[in-house]
Amino acid sequence: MRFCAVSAVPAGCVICCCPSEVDVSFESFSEFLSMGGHGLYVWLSYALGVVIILSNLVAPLRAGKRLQAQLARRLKRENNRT
Amino acid sequence: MADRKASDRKWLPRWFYQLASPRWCYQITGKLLPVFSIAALILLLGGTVWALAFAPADYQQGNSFRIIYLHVPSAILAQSCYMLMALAGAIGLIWKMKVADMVAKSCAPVGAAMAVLALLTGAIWGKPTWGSWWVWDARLTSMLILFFLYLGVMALNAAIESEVTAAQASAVLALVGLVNIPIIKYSVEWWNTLHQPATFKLTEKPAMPVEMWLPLLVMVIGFYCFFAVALMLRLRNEILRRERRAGWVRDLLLSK
Repeated sequence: MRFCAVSAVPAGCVICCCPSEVDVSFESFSEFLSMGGHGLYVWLSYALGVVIILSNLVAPLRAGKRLQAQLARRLKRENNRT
Repeated sequence: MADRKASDRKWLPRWFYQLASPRWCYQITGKLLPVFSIAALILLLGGTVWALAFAPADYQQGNSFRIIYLHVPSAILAQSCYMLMALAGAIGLIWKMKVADMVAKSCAPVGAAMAVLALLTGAIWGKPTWGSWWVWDARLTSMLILFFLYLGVMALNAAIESEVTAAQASAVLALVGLVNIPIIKYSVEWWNTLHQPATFKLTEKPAMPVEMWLPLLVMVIGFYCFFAVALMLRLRNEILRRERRAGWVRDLLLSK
């Protein structure tokens, strides 16, 4: 199936008249989801990829916030004492 | 005075010594973070759409082949990250550089996550391709050992109270485990294996057509950018935690 690479509209779109059409490997959206019978394997892999990548960003960000709050609290306590 | 200056001249570039300063390192990573974050976002999103929808299906493996776009980058990164961890550990051992110890410590969880992703996507890919989730094959086993090495480094860092001793012990473990990296690389050549040989080689053109390997290259670069972000986030936390008594950290915390 051919798509316009700019507007992502199926081939022959009137929004842009550029010749930059690309081939998508699937004829329909349901075919895209089933991945030729391998849908479970492909989508499970990509779901794992998303989870592992995001958790490696969220975890240090949250740890950093917690650490900074904790250090700031301690610093204020020390300043109050002196 | 002039004589003394000449003999004092360092043989390593200036940035190497600047890296040794936690404060400078904190500042430079703060500037680099947005750059790498944006690059990682664009490359990974674009690469994923390209890989899932536009890359052609493999004539033998069909669409399960699309798992390669996660499997290969995560496996490459798991090994690169290990080499960085061992290198940083060695620098920490030799030059007693605090920042190098922090880099080595921050590498371990990210590398372990990448090894897990490579192993899991490999298992999922193996099921439709080889008919089995797992085989005790040289490539798979050496990759599993890589994951255990990461766990070992993390355990040592967590178990040893003294930061200096923990860094030394984990650096030694990382350096000893470095022998595993060439074993992973050559495992597909030295032993009979189900695993296919490397996709990218520096000396040859890839065996795949360009429509297949170009999105893979995008994903590999995207994974490296993601790794830079994840590593810098952890490194910055580590710097703040260990330098909490330094004046600049106090100023930074109070200014918030």
